[in-house]
Amino acid sequence: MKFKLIKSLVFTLVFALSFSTLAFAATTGTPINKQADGVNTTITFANETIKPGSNEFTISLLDSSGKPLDNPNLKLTAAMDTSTDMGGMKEDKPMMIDLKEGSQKGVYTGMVDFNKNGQWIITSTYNVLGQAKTTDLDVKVQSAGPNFLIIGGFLAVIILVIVIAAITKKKKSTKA
Amino acid sequence: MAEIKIPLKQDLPPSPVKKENDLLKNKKFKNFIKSKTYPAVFQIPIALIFAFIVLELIIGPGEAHDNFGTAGTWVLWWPLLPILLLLFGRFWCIVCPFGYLNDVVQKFVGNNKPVPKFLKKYGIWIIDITFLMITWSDHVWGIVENPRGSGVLLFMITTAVIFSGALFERRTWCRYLCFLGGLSGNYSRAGMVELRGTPEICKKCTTASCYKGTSEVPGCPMFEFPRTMDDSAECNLCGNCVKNCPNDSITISTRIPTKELWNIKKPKIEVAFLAIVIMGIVFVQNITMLEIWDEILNSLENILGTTNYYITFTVTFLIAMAIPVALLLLTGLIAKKFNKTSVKENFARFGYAIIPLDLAGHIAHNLFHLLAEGKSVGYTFMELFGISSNGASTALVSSPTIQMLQYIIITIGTVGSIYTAYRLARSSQIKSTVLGTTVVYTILMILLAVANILLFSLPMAMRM
Repeated sequence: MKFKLIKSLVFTLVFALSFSTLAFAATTGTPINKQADGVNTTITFANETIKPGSNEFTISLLDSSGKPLDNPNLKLTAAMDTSTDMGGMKEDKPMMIDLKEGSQKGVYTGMVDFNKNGQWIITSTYNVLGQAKTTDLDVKVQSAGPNFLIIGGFLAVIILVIVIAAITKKKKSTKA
Repeated sequence: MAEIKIPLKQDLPPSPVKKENDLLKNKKFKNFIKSKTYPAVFQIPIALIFAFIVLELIIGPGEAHDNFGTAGTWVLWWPLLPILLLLFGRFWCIVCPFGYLNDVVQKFVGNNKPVPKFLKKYGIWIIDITFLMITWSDHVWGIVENPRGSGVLLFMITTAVIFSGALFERRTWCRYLCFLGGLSGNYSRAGMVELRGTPEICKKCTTASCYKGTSEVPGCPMFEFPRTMDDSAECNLCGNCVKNCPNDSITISTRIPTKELWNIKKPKIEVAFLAIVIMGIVFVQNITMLEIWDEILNSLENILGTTNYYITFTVTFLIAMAIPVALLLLTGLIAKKFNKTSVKENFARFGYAIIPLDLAGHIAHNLFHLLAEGKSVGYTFMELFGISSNGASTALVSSPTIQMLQYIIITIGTVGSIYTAYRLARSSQIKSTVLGTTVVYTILMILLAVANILLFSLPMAMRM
């Protein structure tokens, strides 16, 4: 009886620990919006905070009436904003970002790999009625904090393994 | 341990046949190895440092440049590891925090199940594949450059070690699963320390307490039986056999580096494969850290028609792994003309001759990180107390000095590999075929050495 109670308590604790970390998880994406020449460009990152490393995003181009642009031939590049540097810093070559067409018309998805934190500029180049246009979107990449979801997940698995091993060991010694 | 016996008393008369250079002849050293403080005196402080490093990696600064965990792991420990393996064999494996964690978990909740047959059969292949996958994922997801990534990698290993320790007997993880254990095993074969049983004493022994253990001390954690052990690949110098042997049969002695490789009785293809892919891994590590890597990448992007790094790097990785393997196979094919041995057997046997050059390449590559970025360990440690290095240089010595050291190390490794190939040919063939076989493998070693030297002659980017 006592053993069963301890077992239930430990399992409850493990599940509580694993799910408690969900509280730290990102809940909403981060949209960044800019309007230029009658075109509304919105880039939405999958995570609430944009961190160094790979970041998934969707980008949409809509005209003033909210309709997607026809054949915009969209191209994206990302580069660190060096406008505030005191000079003398080597300017990194802009990174080309691969895009895929999304499920809806006028929506594209991609992945950008920010190699350091700081202010970045994502430059979108597209065609409107045969004319090339450019919109710069400012993105703030924040230093990566601890990911409690991952930490909690690992701890939960570790605790689970130890508890199961302890139970089986005890069972084995009781049988013997 | 499952098979613990009662303590044993000496059951054989003392024997004078022990090795001349046996370090255990020194009473202080012997007492230290036999004492309870060994290896705990090393394990506990290293485990504490490791715990701090993991903490720093997961909750410390997000930038590698500022993180003590990153500096401690990739600038200090990783470059020192191959040097430690050369000097002390797999001694690192007994003080390794993962191995120690395995022992602790096993002590309290271990079920001591026997090692599954498939692990015994395919363990080294699993290690080979894991090692390649981790190297690949490091480049694609940036584990080294990202403290969180390094933290996750350590967490993954920790979880796997706990699982292995809780379920299986002895150090199943270290022997059959640890990807570093595979690398360490290979390098230890070229190392300067060996532990052996004394055949004249062991052949009369009926207790085998070195393997089985006693009520005081467990048996060999690495599933080795010193009586039949003829290589150092799996011995972590834990000292259990020294403590357990009632007849004082165990010797720990120094030896000429690479000596163990000169006479491989049963070459294993998986060991040779690991040796040759490590050469490929050293090439990848070097190529991707060169300042011309971006240009190479651009050319590759144009050829493949994609800028997707997953694809471009995977292609680079596969080429870098395939070239040394193909070269070793080709050399085996040419050598077959001389020694009339199958390509497979040549591949397996002479793959061992690559190990000294592997070790040299690994040390030389990491020497750059150790000497060009070494001060970052101190700087990041000072930053823990709020003291900034104010962008001071991280270099311990100048780049030309590092390059010169790298060339010297590669030259020594090449000589070691050529001599090993010669000795392997001599020990396995008739006199008339030795020269031809040695010349063929000498050409291979020189080719690999030239490739290494060319890569080291180009400017390299830093980790921190």
